[in-house]
Amino acid sequence: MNRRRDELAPPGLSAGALTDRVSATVLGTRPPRAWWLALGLATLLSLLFLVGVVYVLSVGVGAFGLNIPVAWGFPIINTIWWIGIAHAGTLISAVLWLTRQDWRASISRSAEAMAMFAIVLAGSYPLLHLGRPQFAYFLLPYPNLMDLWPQWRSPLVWDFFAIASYLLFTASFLFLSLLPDLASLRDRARHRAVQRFYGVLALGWRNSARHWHRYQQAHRVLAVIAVPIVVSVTGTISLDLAVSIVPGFHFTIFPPYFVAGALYSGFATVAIIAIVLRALFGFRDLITRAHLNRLGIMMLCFVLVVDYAYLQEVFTAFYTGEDFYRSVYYDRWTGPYAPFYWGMILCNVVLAQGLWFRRLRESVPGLLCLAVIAEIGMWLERFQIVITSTHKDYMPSAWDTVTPSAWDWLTYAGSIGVFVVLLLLFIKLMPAISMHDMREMLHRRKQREADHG
Amino acid sequence: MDERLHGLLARFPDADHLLAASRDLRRRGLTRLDAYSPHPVEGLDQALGLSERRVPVTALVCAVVAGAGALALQVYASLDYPFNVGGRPVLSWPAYSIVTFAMTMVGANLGAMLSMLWLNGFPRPYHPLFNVAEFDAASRDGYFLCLEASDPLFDAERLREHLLQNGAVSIQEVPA
Repeated sequence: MNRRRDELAPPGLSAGALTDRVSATVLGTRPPRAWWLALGLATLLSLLFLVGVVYVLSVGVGAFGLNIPVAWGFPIINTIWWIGIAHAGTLISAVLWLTRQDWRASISRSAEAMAMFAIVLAGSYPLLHLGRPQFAYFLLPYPNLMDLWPQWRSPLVWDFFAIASYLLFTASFLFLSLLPDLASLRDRARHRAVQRFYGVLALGWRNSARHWHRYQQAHRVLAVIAVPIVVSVTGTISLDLAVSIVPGFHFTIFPPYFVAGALYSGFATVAIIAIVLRALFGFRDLITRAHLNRLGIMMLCFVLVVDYAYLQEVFTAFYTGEDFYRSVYYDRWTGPYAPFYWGMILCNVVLAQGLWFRRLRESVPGLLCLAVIAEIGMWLERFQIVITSTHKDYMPSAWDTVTPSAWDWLTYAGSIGVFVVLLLLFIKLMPAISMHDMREMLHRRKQREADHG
Repeated sequence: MDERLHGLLARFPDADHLLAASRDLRRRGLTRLDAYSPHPVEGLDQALGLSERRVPVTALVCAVVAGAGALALQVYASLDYPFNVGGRPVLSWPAYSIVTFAMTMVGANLGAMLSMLWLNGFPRPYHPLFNVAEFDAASRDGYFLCLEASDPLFDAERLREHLLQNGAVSIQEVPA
């Protein structure tokens, strides 16, 4: 392989120059004009979310396109979509750290922040979908005068615990990785107020060997528990569907299938964010084409698992010999939601094969297109799983179709706006590239070069 | 010994010198010394004799306690209010495994995070080292070793020489 082409950071980059450059993006006075423009547009978009939430809370969940039998519409589709996006953040920051992948260093921070904000949005949809969100605390086991407990056998209770523990995990991991960088910012800041701000957040971090010793131990513990967390959170959400006896939901392949889909869409989001960071802050030499190539490879791995799951699902449906299962598939292929099914096949099976080509993975517009296709494809997949399975299950008398309402689309578009606003603010207030991870990576590289003469 | 001295702070050109100096001074019997580097340096914790494992042990204990607590709570709740769903057993333990697992992870997570912060003495708004202007480089590209005055073997003159022999590029006194 061409070594020059595979370089993860510019050859002569020193730790000092890197720290100065990254902290300048935070401490420098003027954010780029594109940042302001993006923030303005995203804020406008996020207002739609606010309007949607206020409207739904005031008139009830009937504002969404839901009915019986299709009680789970957009809110559940979007929950699964958002939580899936979060998973790649955890995988990059923890699993790739455990396996000592140097290329994760420069993209891990933005991936962690992405995970954090995606979980917040994923968690907001089930609350909206409750209809009476003020009673969400009923999911908690707390002593009450009604002498009632949560139903521990219910996947909805599992979901609550899975998402809440994942939120806590991601927040801890993000803060842990920020801690030494906050100290770097504190030491670089020149204004008293800015020093105070980062100084308070850095908690008195001094880069001492004792700090690093315990820091690495804590980091290792979190990274190790991230492995089961990555495979279990979306897996648990898939149990909401798989534990039921609805044809189209009741498949044992669901947990791994959901996890692979989650990671596919998550890596696509990381790729989009990496491309934006390159353009916005001129990080083209820190987030190189080699990084884009690797992100593309990860997407390819997971999309192939997803494609296998599609095949396996169809096989299972026909192999069971059950008419209900078969009819779900005839309905998906030819029924009222067939465009969604074939759209999903087009995105995730046909167009995704573009990821095989290194030239496409390394080209910015190429990877950007493939990533957007992945996002759309994964959203369509969740749409067809959630909606086509329930709209036509056992009894013809119970069949019905559902049309997404304008509020569905507005809240969905608005939630993307909220995500972008949060990310843009994050990359302005916090270093978008993990400085201590990069310093460690550069140090290792220097040692390797010294070893090889 | 100067009463108002926190210690001697020496800067080294790179991680290898810092590592060698830490080993050397530690071998000479100094116990109250700490190294500062912009990234974790492999072997530095052994060189300084840091071998405590309280963070992972706390995480393990918290994980077990939280997991066992979650399982016990679910068992207790099922007995306290037996709820027959389609004739399934009252204690349907496989269904409890997910919440138990999630709470085990919460325990490990909080145990590791909080013990790390607690043992490192955070939050710590003030430290004598923050008064040294050059120390800001510890979070950039500076490698430092601080010999604290509270060490029984502390002798500024003699230690200064040892530091210079080990390749220190600058040495300064840190006021307490």
